[in-house]
Amino acid sequence: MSQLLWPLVRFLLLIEVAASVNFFHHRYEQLVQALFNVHNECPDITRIYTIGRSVQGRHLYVLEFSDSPGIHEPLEPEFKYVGNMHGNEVLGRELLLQLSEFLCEEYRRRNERITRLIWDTRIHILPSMNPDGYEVAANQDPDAIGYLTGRNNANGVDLNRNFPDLNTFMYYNEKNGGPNHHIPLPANWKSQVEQETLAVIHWMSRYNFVLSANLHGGALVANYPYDKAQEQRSRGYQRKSNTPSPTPDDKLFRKLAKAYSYAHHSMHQSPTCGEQFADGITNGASWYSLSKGMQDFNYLYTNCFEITLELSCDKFPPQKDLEKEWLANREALITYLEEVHQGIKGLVSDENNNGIAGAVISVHGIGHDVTSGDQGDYFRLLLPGTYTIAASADGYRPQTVTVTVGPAGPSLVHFQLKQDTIKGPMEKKAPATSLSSKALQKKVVPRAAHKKTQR
Amino acid sequence: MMFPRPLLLCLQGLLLGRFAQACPPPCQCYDGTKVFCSGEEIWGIPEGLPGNATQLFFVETSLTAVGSGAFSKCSSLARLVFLNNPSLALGAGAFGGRPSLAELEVSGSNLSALSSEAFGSLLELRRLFLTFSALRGLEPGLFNRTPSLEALHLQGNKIETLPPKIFSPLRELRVLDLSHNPMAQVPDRLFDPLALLQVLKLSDIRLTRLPLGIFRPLRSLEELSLDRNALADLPPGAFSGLSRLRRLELQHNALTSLRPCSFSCLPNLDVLNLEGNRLSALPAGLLRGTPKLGQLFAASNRLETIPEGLFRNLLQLQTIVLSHNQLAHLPAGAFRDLSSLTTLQLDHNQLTALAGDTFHSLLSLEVLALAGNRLQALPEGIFDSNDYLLGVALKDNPWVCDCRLASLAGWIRNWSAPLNSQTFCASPDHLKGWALPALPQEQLVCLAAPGPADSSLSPGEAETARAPCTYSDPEGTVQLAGDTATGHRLTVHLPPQGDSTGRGLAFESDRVLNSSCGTVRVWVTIRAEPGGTAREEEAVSHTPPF
Repeated sequence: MSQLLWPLVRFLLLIEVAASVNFFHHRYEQLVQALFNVHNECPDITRIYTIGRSVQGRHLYVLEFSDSPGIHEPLEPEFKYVGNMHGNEVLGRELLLQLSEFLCEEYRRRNERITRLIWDTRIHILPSMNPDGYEVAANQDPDAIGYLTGRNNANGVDLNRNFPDLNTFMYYNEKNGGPNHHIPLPANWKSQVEQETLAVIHWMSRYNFVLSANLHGGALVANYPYDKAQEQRSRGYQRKSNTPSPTPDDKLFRKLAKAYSYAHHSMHQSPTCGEQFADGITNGASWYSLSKGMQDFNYLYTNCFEITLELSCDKFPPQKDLEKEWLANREALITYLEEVHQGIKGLVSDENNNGIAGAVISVHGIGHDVTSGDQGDYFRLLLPGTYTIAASADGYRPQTVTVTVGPAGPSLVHFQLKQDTIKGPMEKKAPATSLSSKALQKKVVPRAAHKKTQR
Repeated sequence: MMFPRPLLLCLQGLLLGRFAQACPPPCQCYDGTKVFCSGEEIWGIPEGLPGNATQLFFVETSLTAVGSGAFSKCSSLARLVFLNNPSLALGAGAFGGRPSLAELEVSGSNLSALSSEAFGSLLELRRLFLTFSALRGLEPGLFNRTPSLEALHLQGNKIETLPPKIFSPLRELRVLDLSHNPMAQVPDRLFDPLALLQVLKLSDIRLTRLPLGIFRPLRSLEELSLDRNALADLPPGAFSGLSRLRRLELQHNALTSLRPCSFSCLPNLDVLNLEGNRLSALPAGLLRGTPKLGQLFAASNRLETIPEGLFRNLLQLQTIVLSHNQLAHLPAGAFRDLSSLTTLQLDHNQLTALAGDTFHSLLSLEVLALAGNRLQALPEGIFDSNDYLLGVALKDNPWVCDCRLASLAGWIRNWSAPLNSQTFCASPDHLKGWALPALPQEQLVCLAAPGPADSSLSPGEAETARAPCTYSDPEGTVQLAGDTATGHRLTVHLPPQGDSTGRGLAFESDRVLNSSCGTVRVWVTIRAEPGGTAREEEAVSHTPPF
């Protein structure tokens, strides 16, 4: 039945009656014009900001959609879409521009579904993470497009191999104990990343993103973490690279990936570009192992769950295909956005109802915690089911509750933590991670033991 | 955090070094010809713009005045764009001496007035955007020396009136967008000179009436947007002469009625949007003059019914949206002949019953919305000819979950379950609140013969429903009782047990059963697995009318 979701689009989303939009490949200047045009059309629900510049000085513009642009409202989740990280994989860039125009236009038309989405979500759209690479790719003769021309940034670096490698630490911690989230960055990381990467890392630190997708091209599949294989070269032979490398949230990630692939016109109906993916999804490492990618970094360094969407066989599809591709992806882009509203969310506060930032929310049995944001609100995506949830914060007594998560909408689970009176004032000032990491060691070790029995 | 700034500049310098032209420090130059200047620290046009620049962009700067001759050194400038420079003012002749300029955009500024000499002579200017600013009006003669304009965008300003002859010089204009301006009215002959105009957007300009014949000179017009205005009426012949019009947008106005001839001469019309008006009826002949209509949107009106024959001969119609009206019934054959129709939305109306053949002509139907009506049941076989049907939305109806919904429920489970997870039973009591796709088939039974006061069936159908057919072989060993509404009951009288094989229950039979309703051939196989549960297999071949 689910293969038929695509035509249902037209039920769920109002049929497009908006004036015909121009479908063309936007060069940098046209992209800027298009973004400002959307912002000017919908000034009350949008904001444009820049997260930095590319090597050649192009702005990395982000368009934000929210009912109160520029402000994080507690309990309203933050979502991001990132396009065109590889300069020559251009469909995502165009889809995100179309999506921006669509959200604005449908909001103005009072489309119920889109209005609700914008009221309940803060959406950040970065149509191009690699605008320099794009220009190189777009300067080619359309009849002789190089497979990799324009992929890298202006320094010749592949941005999706440029994030600090935290997987190694995570895999080590899983076996030996240590944090299972917000893995600290290596001391010299800034000198090892490109300007675009740096801008994105700062961006990810500034906003408490909950869900994200990174739009690529060259295949048709929704790819979920980990990208990096867990097995290392050992005892002199190379293990197969196509062994899956699941995260503790594997089931959830598979559901997120399927949400996209099944709402897409054809992604779920493999094979498309010669490769077969059941349900149109794949674990990154089981496809091919990739180190220092952005997707794994999101999961290991922030609260954000990111998947990588490969959206077209052709990395630089001809202009005439853009409208068709938009229609094939439109419902999926909206459906995936709506996935941010599931699981549990709530406020962690002290006895005086002040939010506690950085509180750790752990789900029993899932070795990946999340933390509360600046205002004490947290978001934990979860599949329907019954869970034991613990909230802990430095200087407070942990609290544990059992909650049932339904299929529709997130359950509100608030925590009010009491000060830990046993601890002296000196201990309260201990580094923020000390308490939680002790608790985590206990949690992680059984998981590691479990893993050993699997292999 | 980032690279030290001098290093960065140096790096950029190296990268751009191959272009001989210098780039003024607050800007970035690409390919030697595209110049981007952005940042609040830019207060004036930077010194030293490359002389061979063809494209110049100012984004979110603090630019105030662009005076006469500001770009005089850029002799090959083709594109000049000012995006969201709030303090920008354009002096007379700001663009003078730029005959090469083909595109000029000023958007998101607080510009409230333009001198009639602002553009000077821009003989090559094709595209002009003066959008989302604070322009209150345009001075007469503003376009006198821009004769090549093909696209003129003035949306999102505060224009209240336009000089009647402002567009006279624009004989080449193809696209004109005046949306989002508080104009309230349009001068009678404003569009007279625009014989080549293809797209005209007059959305959200507070129009209350259309001057007679205002669109008549627009012989090339293909798209006309009049949405989000306050039009209560369309004058007779409002759109006559628009023989090339493909898209007409009238949504979100205050239209209370339409004339039969409102759209009578639009032979190429493809999209007609009437959504969000106050229409309580549509004239029967409304669509007679639009043979190529492909999509009709009339949601969110006050329609109580649709006239018989409204859609007659619309062989290309693919989409009909009548959601959120007050439709209480549909005339017989309302959708006859619509063999191209793929989408039919009738959700959120007051429909209580549908005739069994309502959708029979819709051989291409893929998507059907019936949610939010007052339906209790659907006649069996209502979707029999809709071979391409992919989804039916049924939620928010007071469904009576008994045997009459059994076949539909099976179909939903197989085909439309995700859409209908919120489709709940309203009765019988013990199933109230159950989701229809989640109900096991065995639950959908009729405990008693359905009562005569069943509003969901037409009188004729109710009659049939109360006259069950019982098929039987001459010996009465196998009997099949049932009808179109209550489901079927198979009775097998097994031969007495006790054969010496010890294998227990087993029965195999191929019978022809007769009844007053017709003939049915039935294979019944009952097998017993040793020590296990009995398995029953059955195949029934139907002959009409079963």
